[in-house]
Amino acid sequence: MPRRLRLLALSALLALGAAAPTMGGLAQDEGPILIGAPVNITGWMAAYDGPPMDGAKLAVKEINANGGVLGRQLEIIERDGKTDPATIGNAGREVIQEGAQVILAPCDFDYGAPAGQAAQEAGIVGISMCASSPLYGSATLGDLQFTLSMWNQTMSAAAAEYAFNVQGWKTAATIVDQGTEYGTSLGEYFVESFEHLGGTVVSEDTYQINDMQATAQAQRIKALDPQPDVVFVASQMPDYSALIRDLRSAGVEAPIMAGDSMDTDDFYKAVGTDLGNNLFISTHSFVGPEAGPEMEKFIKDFNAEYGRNPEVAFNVMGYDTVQVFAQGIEKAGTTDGAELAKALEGTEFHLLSGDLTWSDAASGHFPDKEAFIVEVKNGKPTFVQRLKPSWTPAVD
Amino acid sequence: MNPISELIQYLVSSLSLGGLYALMALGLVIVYGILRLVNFAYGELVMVAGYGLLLFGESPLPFIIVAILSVIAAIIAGVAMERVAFRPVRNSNAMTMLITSFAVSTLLQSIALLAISPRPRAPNLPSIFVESLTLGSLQVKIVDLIGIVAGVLALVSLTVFLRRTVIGLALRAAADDFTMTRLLGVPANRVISAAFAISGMMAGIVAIFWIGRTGQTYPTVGLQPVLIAFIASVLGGMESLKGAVLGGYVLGFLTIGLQTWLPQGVNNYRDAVMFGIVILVLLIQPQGLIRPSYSREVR
Amino acid sequence: MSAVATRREAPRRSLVNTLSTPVILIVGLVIIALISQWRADVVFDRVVTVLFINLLLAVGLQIFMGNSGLGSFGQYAFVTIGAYSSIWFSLTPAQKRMALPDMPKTWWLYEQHQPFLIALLIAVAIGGLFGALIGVPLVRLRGASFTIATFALLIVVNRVALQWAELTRGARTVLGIPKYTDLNVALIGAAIVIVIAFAFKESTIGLKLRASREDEDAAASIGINAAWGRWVAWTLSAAISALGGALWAHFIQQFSPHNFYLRETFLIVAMLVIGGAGSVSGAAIGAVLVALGQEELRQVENWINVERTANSVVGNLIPFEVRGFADIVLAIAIILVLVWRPSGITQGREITINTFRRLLPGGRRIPQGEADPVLGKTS
Repeated sequence: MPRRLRLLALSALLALGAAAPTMGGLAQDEGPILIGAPVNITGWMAAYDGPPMDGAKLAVKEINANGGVLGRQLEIIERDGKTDPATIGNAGREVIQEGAQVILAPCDFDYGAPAGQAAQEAGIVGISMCASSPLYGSATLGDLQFTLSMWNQTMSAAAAEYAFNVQGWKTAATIVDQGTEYGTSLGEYFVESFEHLGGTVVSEDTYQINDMQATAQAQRIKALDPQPDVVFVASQMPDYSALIRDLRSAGVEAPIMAGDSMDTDDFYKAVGTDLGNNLFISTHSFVGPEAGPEMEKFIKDFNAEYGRNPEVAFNVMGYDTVQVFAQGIEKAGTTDGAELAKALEGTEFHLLSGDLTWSDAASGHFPDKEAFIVEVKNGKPTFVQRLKPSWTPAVD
Repeated sequence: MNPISELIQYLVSSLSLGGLYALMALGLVIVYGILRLVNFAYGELVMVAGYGLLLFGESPLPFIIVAILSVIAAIIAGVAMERVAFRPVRNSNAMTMLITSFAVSTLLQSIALLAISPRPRAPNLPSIFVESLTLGSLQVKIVDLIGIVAGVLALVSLTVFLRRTVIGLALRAAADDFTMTRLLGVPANRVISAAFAISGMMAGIVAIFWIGRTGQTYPTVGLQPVLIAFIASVLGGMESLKGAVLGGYVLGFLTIGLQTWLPQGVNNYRDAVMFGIVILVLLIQPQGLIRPSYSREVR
Repeated sequence: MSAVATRREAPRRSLVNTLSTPVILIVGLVIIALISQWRADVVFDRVVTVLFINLLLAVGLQIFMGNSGLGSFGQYAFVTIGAYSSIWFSLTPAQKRMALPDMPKTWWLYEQHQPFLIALLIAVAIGGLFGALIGVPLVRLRGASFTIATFALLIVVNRVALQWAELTRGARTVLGIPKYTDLNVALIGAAIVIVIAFAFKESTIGLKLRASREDEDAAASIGINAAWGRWVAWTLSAAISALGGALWAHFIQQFSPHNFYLRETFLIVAMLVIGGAGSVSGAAIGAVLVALGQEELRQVENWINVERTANSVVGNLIPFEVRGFADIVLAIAIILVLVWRPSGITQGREITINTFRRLLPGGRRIPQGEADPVLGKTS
C-alpha cells in the first residue's frame, strides 16, 4: 500500500513529497465496528491511560467471542497521543479517517478534550474512560461527548456523605493541593458537600504539589483542639503518600479520606501495614470478590488474558466504557453519532464501576454515578460500600 | 503544644529538610565549580538511585546493602554521563553544555518511562521510614533524625575527602581555577570524573531520603530535587561548596518556616517568590551568600 | 576563530544573495503549505500548522540566542503571557464567563472584546513590554548566570499563572476559545517573523550585537554597547514568543499553564540547536526537521505496531511494542549534533542562492560571508 510505503520513508522531506492523500474511512454499516482510541501510550499520561486500555481490549475480546454487536465484530484502533494535546487531537482525527465510529478518549480533561473535540467535529460519540473533571461533558465539548467517570462533585459528595451520614463524623479538616485542577476542585466540592450536610470544616490548608513534605500542615492539624473527626486530603500520587506519612507521624490519628488517584497498588505498598490503616478512599470501583460476582468474573478473565490480577480500579473503566458502547449501539441499532448519543442519555447502565445514568445534553451529560468507598486496613484495600450521593454541588 | 517543643519540632524538621537540600545543592555545585555546567541531568541520577532501590530491594539483601548498591548505581551513572555526553562538549561554551545536560535529562527520563513504567513504583523500604518517636509532647520521624545525622556525616566526610586526599585537593584546586590546575599537571579527566562521581553519590544519598518521603519512585522523581538544588546553590553561591551547604540549610529553614507562619494564600506563590529571589541574587549578588575564597575575573 | 575568518577571502556579499535567504525560506514554507493543501489531510494540516507555530517560536528564539550568543530557557514565559493575554481580548464577555470564570465581571478587562488581529497585536505588545521591563536588568548577566536566570523566569511565570485565577483560571484549563488560527494564519505569522529575524540580523544593531558576541571588549573599544543590542534582541524575541503563544492558543482552543513548561521549552531549543542557532535558516530548518521527523517516527511506530498486531512477517521480526522512540531519538539527535556539529546542521550559515548554485553541476561557489557559528564558539 502506498500509505505504508510512505511510512517507511524515514526522511521527513521525502515523506512530504511522496505523500498520497489519505484514504477515506470504510463504509459505516459493514465490516467490524471500529473503536478509535487516541490515547497516551507514552509520556506521563500513559500511567493513566494504560490500565483502562487493558480493560477495554479484554471487553472487546469477550464481546466478539459472544457474537459482537449488531452481528458485527468490534475492533480497537489505537494511536499514541504522546501526552501532548495537539498530538492527541491529530491521533483522534487519524483514527476517524481510518473509519473509527466511536472514540475512547484519554483519562483526563486536558488530554482527553482534544480527542473529544475531534469526535464531536466528525459527528461521532466519544467517551472518556476516566476523566473526572466536571468540564468533561456536553456543555464544553458538545452533545456527543461523555465521560464514564463520575465527576469530582460526585466523588467528593460521596466522601462527605459517607463521612457525615454513615460514620457520623461532624467536623473535618482539609489539605488541598493547589497545583492541579483535580486537587483544587476535589477539595472545594468536599467542603461544599460536607457543609451542605451540616458538617463543620474546621480547617482548610493547602499543599504545594511536589513538596513531598507537609510537616507544617500536619502540625497545624495536630494543634486543633478538639481534633477533627476526619481529615480530607486532595492531591495526587505520589504526593499522597508523603501527606499520609507526615500526618501520621505528627500524631494525627483521625481517619483520612481521599479521592480516586490514591487507589493504586503502589500506594498501598508504599504506606504498608504501618500507615495503611484508617484511610478511606472515594473511588470508581473495587477490584475484589466483595464487589459482586461480575467483578469476580472480571478478575478471573483479566487474569486469564494478561497473567496478572487487575492492579487498579482504572482497569475496570476501559472495560466498562466498551460495555457501554456495546449496549448503546445495540439499543440505537447504529453507530450514528446523534442516535447513539440519544440511546446513551437516560439509560441506566449497570457496570463494574457502579450504576450510571447520563443526563441529557442540555444538562451537560452529568454522569449520575455510584462511587465506591474503600477502606485501607493493614495496607490492603477493603470494600466498604457503594454510594450514590443524594446531593452534589453544582458545576461552577 | 508548648512553645519550646514547637520550636524543637521546627528545628528538627528544618534541619532534616535543610540537610537534604544541602546534599542536593552540593551534588550540583561540585560539578558547576569545575565545569561551569549546571547539570540538569543531576535529577536523573536521583532517579537512577531510586530505581536502584526498586530493583535491588526485590532481593533478600538487607536494606543497608540495597541502599549502598543504589548509591553506587548513581555514581556509575554520573561518571558514565560525563564520559559519554559531557566530555565531548567540554570545550564548548556554557550554553552548549547546558543544552546537552537538558538533552541527557530528557533522554534518561524517556528511557525510564518506556523501559520501566510511567507510574510511581514502590520499592521495598524498611519500616524505619514510616515510624516516629514520641518524646513527651513531641513526635519526631525517625527518618528525620537519621537524615540529620546522615546529612552531617556526608558533609563531614566530603570535607575530609577534599582536604586530606590528593584527588580531593586537586578537586578543590580545579574548582578555584581549572585552567591553572591543568597547567600544573593535574589530569583533567580524572578530576572531572571524580566530581561526577561525588555528584552521583550525593544524588544517591538524596534519593534514599527523598524517595523515603513518599515511598515511591517514578521517571520525574529527580525534577524537584534539581529545582531545589538550583535555588539553594544560587542563594549560597554557585562557586562555593560552603555556600551550597549554607544555601541548602537556609532554604530548608525558609521552606518550613514559610509553611508554618505565612498565610496560606500567600504560600501558594512560594515557588514564584523563591525563583524571583534567585533572579535577584543573580543580579545583585552573583556570588551568593558566600563569596568564593579566590578572586577571579568576573565574566 | 575570528582571526581565521578575517584571513579568508574577503566576503563578496551581493545584495541579491543576502536578500535571497528570507525569500527562499518563505518559499519553502509555502511549498509545505501547498503540499498540505494538495493532500487535503486534516491531520497533516494540523501537523503543519503546529510546525509553523513552532518554527515561528524557534526563529523568535534565534533572534536572541543567535545574535547575542546567550542561551535562554525563558521563552515559554512569554509564550504563556502571549497565550493568556490574547484570550483576554479575543473572547467576548459571554465566552469569558466559561473560559475565565474567576475573572471579576466588574473588571475593565472583562468587557473587552476585539477582533483576532487586534488581540494578537495586544498580546505581542504585552509580551514585548514584559520582556522589555524584565530585560533591563537581565541583559547585564552573562553566560550560565543568564541562562539560569531565564530558567528561573520561566518557573516564576509558570507558578504565577498557576495561581492567578482571575487572569488565568489557575491550574484549570481555559476552554471554549474560538479557533482563529489555521494553517494560513500560522504561515503568515511564520513568514513575517522570518522577515523580522532577517531584518534584525542585517540591521546595524544586529551586526553590532554579533560583533560583540565574538569579543565584547573589542566591540566596546569601538563604541559598541552590547547590552543595548542584547536588550533589543531580547525584547523582540519576547514579543515574537508572545505572538506564538497567542496563535497556539487559538489553534488548540484549550490550555492550562501546564502546557507551557519544560518539555515545550526543550522542543524549541532542540529545533534551534539541531538546525544551527547561528542563522535564521538554521532555526527554520531545525523546526521543519524536528517536527516532521517526530511525526514520521510516530507514524512508523504506529505502522510497526499495526503489523505486529496483524502478525505479519515484518511484525514478527520485532519482538516488542515500539513506543515512545520519538522522544528518545530527539534527545539523542541533540546530543550527537552538539558533539559532532556543535553549530548545527547549517553551521551558522544562511541558505542563499549560492547554496543552490553550488549544488548545480559545474556550479561555481561564490564566496560567502563567514557566518560565525554561535554554538561552535569556544570560550
